[in-house]
Amino acid sequence: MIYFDNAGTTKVDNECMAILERYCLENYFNPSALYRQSVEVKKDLKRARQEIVSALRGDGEIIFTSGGTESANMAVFGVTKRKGSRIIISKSEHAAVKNSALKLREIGFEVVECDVDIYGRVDEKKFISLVNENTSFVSIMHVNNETGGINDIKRLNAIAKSVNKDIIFHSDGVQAIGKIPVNLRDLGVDLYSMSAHKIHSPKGVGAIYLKEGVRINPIMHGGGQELGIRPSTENIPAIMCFSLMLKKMVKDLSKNLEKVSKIKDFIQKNIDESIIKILTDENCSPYIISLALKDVRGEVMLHSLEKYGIMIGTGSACSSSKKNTDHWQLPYLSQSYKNGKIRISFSHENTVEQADYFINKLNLEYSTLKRYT
Amino acid sequence: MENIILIRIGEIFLKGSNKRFFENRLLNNIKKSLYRIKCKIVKAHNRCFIENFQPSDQEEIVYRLKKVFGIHSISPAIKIPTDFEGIKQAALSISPTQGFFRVTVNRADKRIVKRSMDIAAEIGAFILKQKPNLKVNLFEYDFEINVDIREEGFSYIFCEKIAGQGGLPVGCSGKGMLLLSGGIDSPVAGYKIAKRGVELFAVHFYSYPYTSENAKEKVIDLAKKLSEYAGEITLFVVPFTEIQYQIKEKCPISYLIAIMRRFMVRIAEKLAEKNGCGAIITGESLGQVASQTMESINSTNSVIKMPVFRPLIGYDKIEIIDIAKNIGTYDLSILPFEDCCTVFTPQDPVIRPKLEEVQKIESVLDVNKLVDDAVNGVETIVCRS
Repeated sequence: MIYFDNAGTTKVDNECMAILERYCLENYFNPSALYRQSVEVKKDLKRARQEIVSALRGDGEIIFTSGGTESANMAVFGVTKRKGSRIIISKSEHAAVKNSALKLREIGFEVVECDVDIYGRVDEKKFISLVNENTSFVSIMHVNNETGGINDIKRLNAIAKSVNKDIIFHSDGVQAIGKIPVNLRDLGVDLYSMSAHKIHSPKGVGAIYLKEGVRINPIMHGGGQELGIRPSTENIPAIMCFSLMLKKMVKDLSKNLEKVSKIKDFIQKNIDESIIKILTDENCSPYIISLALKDVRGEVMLHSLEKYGIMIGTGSACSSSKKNTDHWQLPYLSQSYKNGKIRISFSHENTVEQADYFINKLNLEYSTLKRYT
Repeated sequence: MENIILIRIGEIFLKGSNKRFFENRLLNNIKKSLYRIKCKIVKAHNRCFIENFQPSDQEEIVYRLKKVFGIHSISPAIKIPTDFEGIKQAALSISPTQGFFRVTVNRADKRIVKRSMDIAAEIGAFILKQKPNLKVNLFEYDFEINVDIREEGFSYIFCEKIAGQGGLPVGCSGKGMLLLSGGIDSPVAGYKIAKRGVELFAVHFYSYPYTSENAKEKVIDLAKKLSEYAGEITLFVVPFTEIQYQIKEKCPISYLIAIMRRFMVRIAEKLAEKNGCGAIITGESLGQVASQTMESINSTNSVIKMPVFRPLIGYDKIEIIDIAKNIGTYDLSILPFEDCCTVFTPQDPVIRPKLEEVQKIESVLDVNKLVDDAVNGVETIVCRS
């Protein structure tokens, strides 16, 4: 089996199993209860929170959530914004941000979408022209989930704040943490969303980072957990895995980057560019490579590779069941490439040999499918 | 006093000497539908009873019976040995405390001399005395208390009459092979024909890698949903890509759909014969799409001998959607997965294919081999709710 869909989700790391066992079978206590055993769990939770903040060089709080989508929703809906004010997002945001922001438009906010390049990166000039005094909230993703395009969040945040210092800047860091260097103090963002299952932890846990002094309103109501901002009994087993894996991924960051870069380079060098367009450049995450096939549908290629045990993605798994006719990337692709997008995304567990096998089968299947288009 | 469920049978009571065959089928289907619920099924004249069940199972039993074809109506009832005091108490126990009501007595046991009307009046008076906020109105009432005094010495007291599906018990009209695409129409066609007593088999054409595991799973879910009404359905998933490739390569693209349809019914007929089916069932509705014109239907029909039933031929799309929503297949059908018909769809398909023309075009293909290969590659999945 060759798993090349790591931007969709990742295999849970073996080290998580012991943690899961410990917090499911032994220390399963509710951290909000009052007996000693619960207080111990609460301390562990506190430690996990601090470890995540410090791994990302932050100076504020971590609120645990159910995942990236919930974190993004909390940012978009939880920030206090002036009625009718301007909200800026990029055209290539993940559906979690995009659809939430579009909801805000329905209730009277002026939601504007900033143009992006073919890799999903914000066009800085356009961005400057959009930020105004009336802007209250900006959400720009750190690493694009389809292409790996990396936005210069530090710069965009500075631009926004220079126009209006009260702007709250959120960035979706789901594809960034543990994979590219993230220094939250340096980025300067107010809010930052993340997800555990993209870094070899179990699904069902994510977090939102709140810079020191930044507060958001809860979008769910209940008990007082997570500073009252995200009430619900914490998913301790998965949170403990999240913190462990983030630490580990940050520690191994350079080593892993070197490894996946080799795989990506290999694919880039060996793709037949007369039939397959490579949608990546040096400012994209080495963990993702986006390709567009000429005259062959991406989904059909995905299924064809299934029979060799090769798993890849098309666009974003979260929206792959929808027909996307107004996708941000379409204007950059000529007609014969528009339906042909596939996404190959790596983990440190992948190898160059796997990439070699993949290229081989990709070419083989391409020639079969091309015959019947 | 015992809680039971009374089932009235539908159209079967019109049957003559072969009535027993229909009744046995129905009882068998009821038994299957109540799978894993502890209860006893008792047959009686033009009706049957479910007895000896846990009170907590009653709601589930009624829910399942509502989906069994051949049942006219269902009433949860109280069964007691015929005795007026007992009947009065039972009637009182199921009557609410306010509103308008009437009592209706049906006296099959003619050993009881008192007339039905008088018995009803007596019970009504008894209830009124105990629950003074109730009022009698024989014509405009909020609820009706029924008392059924049977010959075998038992009486049944009930309020509710829940409509059943009607139709004929599945299996009593033979077996049929349903073309199940994954769209809105074919499950409704299956439902309609099962309602006329046909036991269903289904065939789905699978175009890997153009359609996915998700599309197959969707069809399995549809068959399962349909099986809530039609009973167990054996689904045949036919590999269809090679046939599509061959047509695409060797025939004009505008005839792709016309020729594809001919292959589909050929394969369906083969599978139908193998499984003892007497007909093929499709969800076609006249004029809905290019393959559903008279000429197209004729071109498809001409390659097989078996009758093709098209229960939806005269239905509008909106009527079909309404039924699909009612039987719960609609939400599954609209899931956005490709099916084999949307692969290679030509821009301008031939809408009125001439039979001779289709035959001529198709003659370049090795039809028998392609059909046999497809039938041999079939995957069989038994679907039950």
